[in-house]
Amino acid sequence: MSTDKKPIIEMKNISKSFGGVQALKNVDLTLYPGEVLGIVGDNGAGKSTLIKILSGVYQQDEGEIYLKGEKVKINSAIKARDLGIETIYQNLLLVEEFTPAQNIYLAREPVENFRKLDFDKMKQGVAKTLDKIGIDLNMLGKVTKKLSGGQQQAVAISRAIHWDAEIVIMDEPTAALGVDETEKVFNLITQLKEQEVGVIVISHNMRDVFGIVDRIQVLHLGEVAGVKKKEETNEEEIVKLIMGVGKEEKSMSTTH
Amino acid sequence: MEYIKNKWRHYNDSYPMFLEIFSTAVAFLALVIIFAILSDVFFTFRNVINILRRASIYLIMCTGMTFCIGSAGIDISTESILGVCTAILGISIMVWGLPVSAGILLAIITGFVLGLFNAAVITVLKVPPIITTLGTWTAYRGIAFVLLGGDIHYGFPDSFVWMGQGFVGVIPAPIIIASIVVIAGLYVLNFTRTGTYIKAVGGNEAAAQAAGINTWFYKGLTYTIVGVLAALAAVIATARVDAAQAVMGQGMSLHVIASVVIGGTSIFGGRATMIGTILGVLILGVLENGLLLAGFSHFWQLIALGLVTIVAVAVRTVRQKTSEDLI
Repeated sequence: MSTDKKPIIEMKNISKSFGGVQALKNVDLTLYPGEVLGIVGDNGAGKSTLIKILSGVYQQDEGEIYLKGEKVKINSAIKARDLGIETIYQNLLLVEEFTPAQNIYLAREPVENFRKLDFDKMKQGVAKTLDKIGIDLNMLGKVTKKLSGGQQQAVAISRAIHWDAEIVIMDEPTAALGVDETEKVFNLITQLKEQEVGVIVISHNMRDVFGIVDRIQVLHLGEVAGVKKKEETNEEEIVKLIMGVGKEEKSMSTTH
Repeated sequence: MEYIKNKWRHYNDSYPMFLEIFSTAVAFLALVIIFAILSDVFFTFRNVINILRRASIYLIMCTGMTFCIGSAGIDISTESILGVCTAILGISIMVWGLPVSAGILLAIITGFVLGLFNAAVITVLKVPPIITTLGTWTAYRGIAFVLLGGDIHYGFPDSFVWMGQGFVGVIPAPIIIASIVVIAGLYVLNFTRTGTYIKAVGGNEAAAQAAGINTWFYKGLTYTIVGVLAALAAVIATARVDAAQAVMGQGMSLHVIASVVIGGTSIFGGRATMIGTILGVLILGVLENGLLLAGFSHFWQLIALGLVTIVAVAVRTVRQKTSEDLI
């Protein structure tokens, strides 16, 4: 990854507490276009709170978010989507009784006269997207619940690609998948990278983390425990950071 | 790209759904053939029109129920809304002497308000639909009795009675009215955002919400649709017998729900089909009529109606389990 790229997202000094519990404390996060950033940490480390702030589900108590250098306020999930931030949750949030196309267009269906859905437009749009990323078109005729876990993940990723997301956040993308399907999802993430999309992957799985990410940001008890380039670290070091052993100074965590 | 064009005509085309409707249609045709053999009268023009006229009130109520069940809801109170609207028609037209059009308008508004009350309790107070509408099922029937007591108002003006007994050419007016409602329902459910969102809310509420759909609005909308259509059904039912009484509609809700479920709309939401609902209404209509003509009493009809509902859902459940690798 070249260092002359400008960050697509910068989160600065993000703090968030729920009642008396401080979930995040002065957390920074930087994401570059065409980069995959892994966020790891133990349960309660603040991973999901952090991404929920970025995807508009929660609002931070303190701190700023900059999108391509401009300060933004992400006060709803729809706002996040409009800014080009797509989130793929662990449970995917697909309507199981719908076809992949219906899911990809959900709540964004084009309409023609008499408020009739523009089926042709959707048909062509989805075919183009799936063609682009080389997804098995057989699945278009099935309802989503008949698809495998990997195919469902592919539908969720296609939705992000289809709507020209610039930032894709993935929560445990391979947790429910076998080896083959994990490989396919990795391929899709690689394609997102090639299209200069910034990808954030939250994972418990070290194989995932070292298999696909460029940088790893470790959270521990709501604070940044370290940010490492993949090639400059190893599994042992990351596990130690996750457990809170040898926590770095904050100034170190912001360099990459 | 050619492959897609051939295989995939519609963005919501799915082969399993087609198969479901197809098999429901086959069941319906089988029933028709059986009764046509058992009874000479069954397949006459007069009897077919008779079945359709009786079915038309159910078709109107079932259109609303398809939306409601499709959103993973249920409305048991639909028959009681019909009862209150009947009472309103009787009082406004026969007691107050309002014009027919004003009476009908008042009944429709009543249906809307009663549906809206269900919607408010379900979406704002978050009381489960089955409990809410079980409560209003009783309460609304109570309102009908408070309004009418044991009175029967009859002798409605001709223009009103026409809605239930009149003809356009050889086609009875109720069938025309029901057809318009069903076609409108088919259009909204399959070809508009509103129908898509209602199904999405029923299929996965969290997904619908995350996509930016105002889930409580679309849930509530289905109960108001049920209310308005129950009011329209009340107009036809009252005109059909030219009498308004408080017991009108009793026992219809379960028949309505059964028809929708037999048609293939999923009680768990997400999957709703108007074509299936039409077939469901016709299956029960043909069953009732055919058994009657074949000499079975009303009691046997009740048994058949109950068993057919269970068998239809059981067959569908088994088939869905065994058809994982369909296409």
